[in-house]
Order: sequence, then C-alpha cells, then structure tokens
Amino acid sequence: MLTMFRRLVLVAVLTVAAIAAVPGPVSAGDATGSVQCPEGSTNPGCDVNAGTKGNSGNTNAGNTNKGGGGGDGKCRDPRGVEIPCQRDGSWAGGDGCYYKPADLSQAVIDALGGQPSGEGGWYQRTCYNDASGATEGFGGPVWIAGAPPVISPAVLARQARARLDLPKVIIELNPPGKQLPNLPTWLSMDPSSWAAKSATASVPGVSVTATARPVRASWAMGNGATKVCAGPGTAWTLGMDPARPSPDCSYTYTRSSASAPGGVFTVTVTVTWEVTWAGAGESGTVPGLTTTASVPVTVQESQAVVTN
Amino acid sequence: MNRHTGVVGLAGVLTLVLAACGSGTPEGKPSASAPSSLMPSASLAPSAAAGRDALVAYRGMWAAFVEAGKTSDADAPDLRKYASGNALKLIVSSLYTNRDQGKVSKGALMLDPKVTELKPSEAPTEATILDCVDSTNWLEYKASGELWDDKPGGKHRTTATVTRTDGSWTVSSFVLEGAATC
Repeated sequence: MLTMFRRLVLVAVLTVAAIAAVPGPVSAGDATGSVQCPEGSTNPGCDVNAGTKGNSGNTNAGNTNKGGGGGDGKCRDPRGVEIPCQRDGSWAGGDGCYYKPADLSQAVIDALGGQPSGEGGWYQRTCYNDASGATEGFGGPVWIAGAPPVISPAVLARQARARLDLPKVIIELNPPGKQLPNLPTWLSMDPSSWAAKSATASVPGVSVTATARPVRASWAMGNGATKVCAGPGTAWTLGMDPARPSPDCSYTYTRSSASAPGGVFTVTVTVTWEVTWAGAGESGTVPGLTTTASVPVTVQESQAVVTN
Repeated sequence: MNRHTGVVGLAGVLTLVLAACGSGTPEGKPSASAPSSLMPSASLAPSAAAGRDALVAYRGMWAAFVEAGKTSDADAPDLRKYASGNALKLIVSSLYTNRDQGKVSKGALMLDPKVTELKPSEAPTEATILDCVDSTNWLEYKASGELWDDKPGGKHRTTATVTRTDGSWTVSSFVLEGAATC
C-alpha cells in the first residue's frame, strides 16, 4: 500500500517536472505565469481544488508525520533523492515540496472555499523543479488536514500556540458599582487575567515552547472613548484616595449613561498577547492572541450623588 | 444551425460594443471598461445583454487582477466582484504566493475576448469566452522595481466560463494556456 502511494506521488512529481521543463507554460517573467494552467496540468498552482473541503486529500504531503525526513535524519523526495530540508524558509514535506505555516486573511480563506472543519492548518506550499535548473517555485496556500506536513520548529510553534490556554479576563472597577461623573473609574483586572502562559508541542527530538505575554489592555468605555493601558491596572485598596486617578489606568466619565441603550455603557476590555516561541535552537514570533471581557456600567447623574 | 449563426452574429455585435469602449486593456478602474453605462440593456436582446454582461465580468476580472497584482493584494474586493469559484481561487492563490515571494506584477495586459457560446440560448446563465490574453507587457517585478527575470511575456489562448448567479455574472473558471498559443 505504501509502495503504491509512493508510486502515485512519484508519478505526480515526474509529471510536474515534465511540464515545468517545457519553457512555454512556466515563463516566470510573464505575470500570467502563476495562473497558467493548460488542461490537465498538474502544476500545483493549477490544483485549485487543493485544500478545500472534502478534497484535502489532494494536498496530502506524504502519509507520514515525519515530513521529508528519512530515518537517517536527511530529507528526501519521494524518489529517495536527498534534498535540502529547508528552502526559502520552508521545510521539506514527504512529497518533496516545501511547506511553511500560512497566515491567511479571512477573505483569502473564503476565496479558497472556506475554513475546513476539524484539525489541520493552512500552509504555503512550494514545489521546485530543480531538474531543469529552475529556481522558481510553484505553489499556493493549501489546507492540510490532521498532522502538519512537516516537522519544523516553526510548525511546532503553531501547534504550541494553538494549545495556549489563556486566562479569562476578570474585570475589576472602582467604584465597584455605579460610576459617578467626574470621579475617576479605576480600570483593572484580576492579576490572573494578566499572567504569561506557555505551552509546548513536541515530537521525538524536537520540542518547542510558545509563550504568550500580555502587552496591552484596551478599554472601550462604551461611550466611544478608549483607554489603552500597558498593564492590568491597579485595584483600589483601603487607604488609596478614590477621588484621584489610579496610578496607571483610569478613565473619568463626564456624562451619565442615562441616554445610552438600556441606560448603561458596555465596557469592553481587550487584552493583546504577544506570542514568542523557542526550541531546537531557533526562536521567533507567531501571530498574537487576544482575550476579552465586557461589563455593563451605569454612570449616574451627578445630582443623585449629592443627595446621597 | 440557426443557433450557430446567431452566436457568430452576436459575437460580431459584441466586438463592436467593446470596440466602442476603445480598450484592449483592463488598465485603470474596472468600471471604466464597463460598457453597461454606454449601452442600455433595453436596446439589446436578452442573449445580447447576457453576452455583454459576461464580457463585463471577464474584463472586470482581469482589470481587478492587474490592479491587485501591482501590490499582490489577495484581499482585493474587486476580484470577488468579477470572479468566483475556481477562477477566484486561482487568482487569490497566485496573488498570495506572489506577496509571499516579494513579487508584484506591472504593465498593461491586452485582451480580445469573444463570447463563443451562451446557454441556454433563451435566458443564458452561462457564457463561454475565448480570448488571446497578451501579457507581453504585463510582467513580474521585484519589490525593488527590477524585473523579476528576463523571461518575456506572451500570448495565451484562454477559455473562460462566466456564470450568472443571483442576477450577477462572474467568471467561475478559466484555462490560460502557455505562451504563443494564439
């Protein structure tokens, strides 16, 4: 069965090579190059069904989790020829093509047929044709279901990132109940909401740890104003003067929320996390994460305060 | 036989309509090349209107591709206006890959599309377009402004399927063949 599969892959690769060797269809200077798809072409860029729902089998990078790595630690294409394990920042997969994680916009994902359900990830796939001396890679973003097509620190970093379990945001305001116009509202969150978190992903021989650190809290006050703070804020404690702004994060309403929908302002805090990774002698950053929470806040009419 | 003659006649009319726009190139705003503003649909038979609308979508797609190619912008909204399905996948993949490789496309692309088939003929929902896409001057550049390489562009035989969905026409697939195929 494995032999059969390997043979199929080999045929596909040889076909690609044969087509790419013809000068016409792949002239790279021609801006139509990447959308040239003669009928029956196996140019990976022409495989427009690749990576879409129900069709992700097309982009199976080799039915192995070991990527292009052989038992001897060297990277080989399906024919067994040794190839570089890395090219242009991508790693060799079992099909001899190179993969790296792709951060696609929603618009691109939609154009590719939508986000498939289940485990998997988006990768930028590049297939080189070295036989003809071409250094130009063909490829495109593809969805790979299940395990990643290659094992590299950067790919493991994405897995580790996906395992990060960030804390819930617990908002603490002072005064704790209704807010008063012209009296500072102390904006803070429970310390547990602002604590670095790590997660690790590993395969035998390679282990990568992703660490998320909170860097910014953006408080949308519900009245159109936003207060950005570099920390979790300071919770008011006995002995502090509540009439003064908090040492690091507060906002002062000037108007009551009486005319807002429901008579309340919805305060939403969004915490931005930077995610870095390190492992196997490499390190880097991956896209950040956010956590968020909301709380309704009533800002009283100031007259009501006076009569209290 | 009748149908065949009809299509040929139609193609002639459409060529004239497009010639009136004076453009063999999708340079500039896609809407600028839309003949719809020049030719009220009321004056055309339903099939002629369909052929015209299909060509607008086809030219619109290339115009949007050329525009998006200047910055390799795979998110360009105009692409979604004129292309769908596999055509959109192909273009978006191409632009995403070009962005990834630090490549942009510049220059004018010349088109000469003709509708070769409309079906069903009574109220068409699918048009087939045959074109000779001339990319002699539409070339790939590095971000630094230099040409990506010294390979020339060329003329590519292209067939496209344009479909009408929910009242609007989009290019749903196309096959662009190698250089010097037309």
